[in-house]
Amino acid sequence: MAKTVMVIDDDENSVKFLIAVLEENGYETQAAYDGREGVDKLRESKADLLILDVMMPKRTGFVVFKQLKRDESLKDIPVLMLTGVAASLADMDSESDDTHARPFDSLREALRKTIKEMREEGEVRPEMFVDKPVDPDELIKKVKELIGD
Amino acid sequence: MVVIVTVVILLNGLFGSLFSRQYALNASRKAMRFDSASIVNGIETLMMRQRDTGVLEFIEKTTSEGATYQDISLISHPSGKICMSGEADVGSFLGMGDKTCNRCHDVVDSPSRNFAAQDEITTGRDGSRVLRVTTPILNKPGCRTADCHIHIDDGDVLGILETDYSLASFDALMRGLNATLTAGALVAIGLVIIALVLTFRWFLAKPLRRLLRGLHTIGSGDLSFRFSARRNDEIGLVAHSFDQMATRIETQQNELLKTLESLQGIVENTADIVITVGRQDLIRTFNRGAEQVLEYARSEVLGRPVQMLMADPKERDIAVARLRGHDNVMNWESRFKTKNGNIKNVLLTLSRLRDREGNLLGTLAIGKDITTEKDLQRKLIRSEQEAAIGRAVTAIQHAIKNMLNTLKGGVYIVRLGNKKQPQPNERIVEGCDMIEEGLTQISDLAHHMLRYAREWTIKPEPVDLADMVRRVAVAVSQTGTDRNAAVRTEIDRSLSKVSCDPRLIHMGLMDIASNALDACLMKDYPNDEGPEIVIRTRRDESKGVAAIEIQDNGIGMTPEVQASIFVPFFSTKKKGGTGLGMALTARIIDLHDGKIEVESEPGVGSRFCITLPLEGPAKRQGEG
Repeated sequence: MAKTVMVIDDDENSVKFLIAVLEENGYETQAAYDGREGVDKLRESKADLLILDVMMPKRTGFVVFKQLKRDESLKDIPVLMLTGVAASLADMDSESDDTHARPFDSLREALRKTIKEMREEGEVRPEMFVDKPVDPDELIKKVKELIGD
Repeated sequence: MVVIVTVVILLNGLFGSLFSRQYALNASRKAMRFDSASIVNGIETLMMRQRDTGVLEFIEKTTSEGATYQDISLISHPSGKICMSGEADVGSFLGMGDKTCNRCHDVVDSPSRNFAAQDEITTGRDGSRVLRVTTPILNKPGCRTADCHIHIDDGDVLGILETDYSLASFDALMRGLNATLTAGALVAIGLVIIALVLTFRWFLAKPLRRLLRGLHTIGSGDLSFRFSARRNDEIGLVAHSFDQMATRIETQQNELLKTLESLQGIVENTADIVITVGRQDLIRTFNRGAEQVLEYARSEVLGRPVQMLMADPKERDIAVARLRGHDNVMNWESRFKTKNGNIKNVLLTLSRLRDREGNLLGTLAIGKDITTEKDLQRKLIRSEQEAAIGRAVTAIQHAIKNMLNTLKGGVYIVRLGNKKQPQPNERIVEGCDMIEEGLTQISDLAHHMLRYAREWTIKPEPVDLADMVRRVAVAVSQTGTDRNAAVRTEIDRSLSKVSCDPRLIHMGLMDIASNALDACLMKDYPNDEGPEIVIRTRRDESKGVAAIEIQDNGIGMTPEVQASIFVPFFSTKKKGGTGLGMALTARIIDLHDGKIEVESEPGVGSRFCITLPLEGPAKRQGEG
């Protein structure tokens, strides 16, 4: 029985791309276009893996992520996070938390700080992140690592 | 005073002389009258005895006894003189039948019984002064009984004795007395004058001279001088008034000095800059605040033109123009240049200084150093600008990556669709390859461009360069494993931590090392040689720098290429190069006050050398 992967992303083209990649590699897919819809669908029919876009307008991927972790029935579903800035977050250890010292790019700083906090709490790991534009081979590799074929 | 004393002495002498003279004269008169009366008694005795010749002898004898008598005359009525000294008988005594004087003369007005002895000073026979004593010879009871005078009453005058006493001795005595008195008066006057002179000198001239010296002392500035006189006279009053005046002046001067010191203290101790210039623009006042801000000692600027303090000497003309017609300029932002050449932003208030008549004396400038505030303001503005750029950069990055993601997804779906065709179209595959290559280039360009736009401040911290170099070497060697590229490190252990921004330096080193690997991958090596990259650290104590060298044995560069590698958008790579990597690296090194140099030979290889100051960046930090 094929594993089911749910994609939550506000960008329809991005959803199409990911679904094409996943289905081509034998996975079943579900799609949602914002966090609320995604969580509702997950409760109706459990998925084996969730691919979650971070930068969404109504509710960011992190908020959705924390909501899932608080939900007993959903907290064990593995998650891959999609970001446009994953590559530039690799060097985050070398920077301080003092955003005043580097006041520009506050959005990126906020993102970096959130990831750092979540990582310190053991909730996220660097390998959970997938950078945009998505490399199909890299994505499938990570999916297989988490849930197998 | 002297005149009064002199007059008193002279009058005393004069009256003393007169009184003495009169007293002596009166005494002489009394004596001479007595003497004359004695002679009359002698004559009367002789007459009683009726010895006329005895009378003459008696007179002769009497006058011959000394110089006292000049002349003695015995006169009887009516024949006049009957006897005179020194002469023979010139008449005869009264006979019994002769009439007495009061027989002829009226009883009333005749010099009868009331006729008393009298005297007068007159001229004697020889012309000298004589006292002539006239003594009456009266008919006495003895006479009445005599035959010759029985017929007349008692007390009738029978004749007179006129005796001239010489006054030569008396006059000589008086002259001597006068001379003595005059000499005494003169001596007394002299002594009085000497005493007065001495008194004047002691009581007046000396205190006056002291008073003058005191005035001179006070005039020369020593206000502590006091007479402290104990005298109660006019001099004492003058000295006391003088002391009071000196005390008042001293008190007022002390108050003035205190006020002056207080004002000077305010000017001197304020942290603000206080400078005054005269009409010729020469500096007259330069307080401690000015010394501290402008780094000049007061002695270095006083009397020199104020333009020396201005960052732009033209600002002096601007200030003068602003002052024209107003006399005051408030809150004018100007720039001063310190002794060490630093520029200070100063907020100035300028005021014209005028005297009471309104004549221009100069200009007062009170300033506040606002360099720090201006720097903060500039930093705040830049920070806000950078924040806005940062937000825009992130938003653009996000948007571009989403667009690239869509394009990539589209290409993926086209490829997928083509692959599922019974006969896949090669042209579609080729087109998709081209599109994906273009997407990669756009992705890299966006990444570098946004970084280039964003990275313009550094955040230095102590960094272990050896550790960083090892990590770079590991990363590059992993990338180059498929071509068997050898990556080595040579670490100088004397190099301790260096102050730099680790994120940016790491990025720069990675960029150079990646280029080195690319240069190696583009070269066809002979059999006995393979791609090799060496990364070295070195401490150069003489230059005070840490050096990092990245050497490769790749294809190398021509001098033309070497000259252009740090120019933005210059790239020699046929595929994938954005031309921003080395430009960004050069910027990063420059922000660290470091240098980046390159040596290269086509076909042999290249060597990049980065030097960073051991003490860390200084000048660029915080500048935009």
